[in-house]
Amino acid sequence: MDSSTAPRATVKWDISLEKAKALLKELGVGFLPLNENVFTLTQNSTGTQSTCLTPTLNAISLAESSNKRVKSNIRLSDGEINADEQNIDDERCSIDKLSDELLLRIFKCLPKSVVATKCALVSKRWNCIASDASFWKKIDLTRKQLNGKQLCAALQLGVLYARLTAIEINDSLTFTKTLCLQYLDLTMAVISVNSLNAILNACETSLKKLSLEGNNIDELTLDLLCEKHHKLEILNLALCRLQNGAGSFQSKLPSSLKELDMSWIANLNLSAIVKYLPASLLRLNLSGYRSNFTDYDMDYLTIKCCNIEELNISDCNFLTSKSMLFIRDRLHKLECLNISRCHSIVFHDFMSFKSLKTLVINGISPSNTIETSKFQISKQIFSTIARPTVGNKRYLMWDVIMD
Amino acid sequence: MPNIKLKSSDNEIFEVDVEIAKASVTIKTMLEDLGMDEDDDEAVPLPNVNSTILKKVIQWATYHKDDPPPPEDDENKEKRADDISSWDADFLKVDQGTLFELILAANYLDIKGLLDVTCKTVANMVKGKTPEEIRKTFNIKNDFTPAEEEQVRKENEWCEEK
Repeated sequence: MDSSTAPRATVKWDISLEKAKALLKELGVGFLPLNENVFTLTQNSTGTQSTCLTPTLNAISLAESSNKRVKSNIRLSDGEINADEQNIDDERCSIDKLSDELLLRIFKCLPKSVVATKCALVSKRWNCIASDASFWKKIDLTRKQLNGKQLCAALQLGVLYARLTAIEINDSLTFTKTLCLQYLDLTMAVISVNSLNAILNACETSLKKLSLEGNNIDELTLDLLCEKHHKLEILNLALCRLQNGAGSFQSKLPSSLKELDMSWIANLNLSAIVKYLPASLLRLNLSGYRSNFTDYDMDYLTIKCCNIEELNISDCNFLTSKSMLFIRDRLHKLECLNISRCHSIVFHDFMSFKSLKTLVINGISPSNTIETSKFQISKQIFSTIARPTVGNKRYLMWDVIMD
Repeated sequence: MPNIKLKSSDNEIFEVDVEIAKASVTIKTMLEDLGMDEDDDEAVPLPNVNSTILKKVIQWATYHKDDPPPPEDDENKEKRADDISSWDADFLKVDQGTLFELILAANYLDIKGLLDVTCKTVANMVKGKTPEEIRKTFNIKNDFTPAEEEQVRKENEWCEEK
């Protein structure tokens, strides 16, 4: 019903402040106390639903700050409100009405840097939402120079996938919470062994994928990997530098390992390591052991890890054709073999490798001697085994999209 | 095409093509689960959406009726905010109150496409602003003490773009 044409009865009421407050509150309207507590009640004479309060209007604020809801079906008589239009709009529905989930959804459309350095500073509520773990599942701190506190704060947000490639941490780390990390890429990080171990130690559960390529590691690092991180599936220790007696490492690597890169680690006791490799391995990179990877080790390796599908033994100059026979006769699932620069291997009968699909032989010229109809000969230079990011797929950290 | 009646919170009835109404997963489920007959004369009550907003929602769903179903949210993929179509951008040139009500309605009615585009619109209003500008834009009260604010700033420094 249009209130302007409806017949009206106007009554002037003297009512107590308390009653007025209660009445207005019921209608969803806030109340400001005023000296004169006189209200005009306009009512449709028909007595139907729309009871309109048209009080002396400066007595009423459209909403109390605690309850900003204004019922949309209250009609305030025309011309009696001076409240500015903008204010009414804001009161009607503001960003504060959105649930945490909805605000989080909005934040998720923004770059993380904006959320952390702008949104989080807006208010306590926004800060709380900006710290939501679901928002910080992935962080990419590639090449950042941070102090220990900053890195701890970042990882403690509940990060699952952390790309810390070439990060520079110049002091020690002290964690006050356990970490939820699943994937950790510390490839070429500038970080002390103690800090590295602190991260591995702060993890609540076992990491699944880890790259420590090019890091300094010690005995404790390896112990943590073997015991605490017993569910590792992928481990990249390429080019690690062993410190504090880690070279004599003797302990069983996680039996869940599918991919392992232990290439080019100086002073590694390879014969010992080979004995502790798990049978679960599918892809293995043991390249770069120029003088200490022997046919004897290969004999052991091929018996133990008979499920291997990809093997990289490039630059292992002590291996001879004898190793090729072990590989051929025992690794029935082998699809890819890299024997680049293995100059002691004089072997031509690759046709007898039943499952082989790719042979990588950089540095030896096989073209005349190897029959190639059955598999492809590749010049692939970089190994992809256990590496978090390969080729131009910068957006990937293993199977997780980081961008 | 059969029509369906929708009743807004202020009791206004809207008659809409069923297929368009089904852009709302809430309505779709209601029709399927409750076995509401399509040629039933009874209106589907939507107590959380007023007529102004419902009108906008229907307008949006009508324009987008032939869109392919939106992709599932991929946890592995961050959303972008800069891919709003020009029609949607025009459609969302509304005051803040309406925009937030549209978000609430899209959430309640479970219309993912509309929820995405409205959230992105708000995200774009946040972009490029200082915390103080964001507070002003959305009329948010700063309840940090200066010391607290400084602490949060310090804690989050690691995330600053170089």
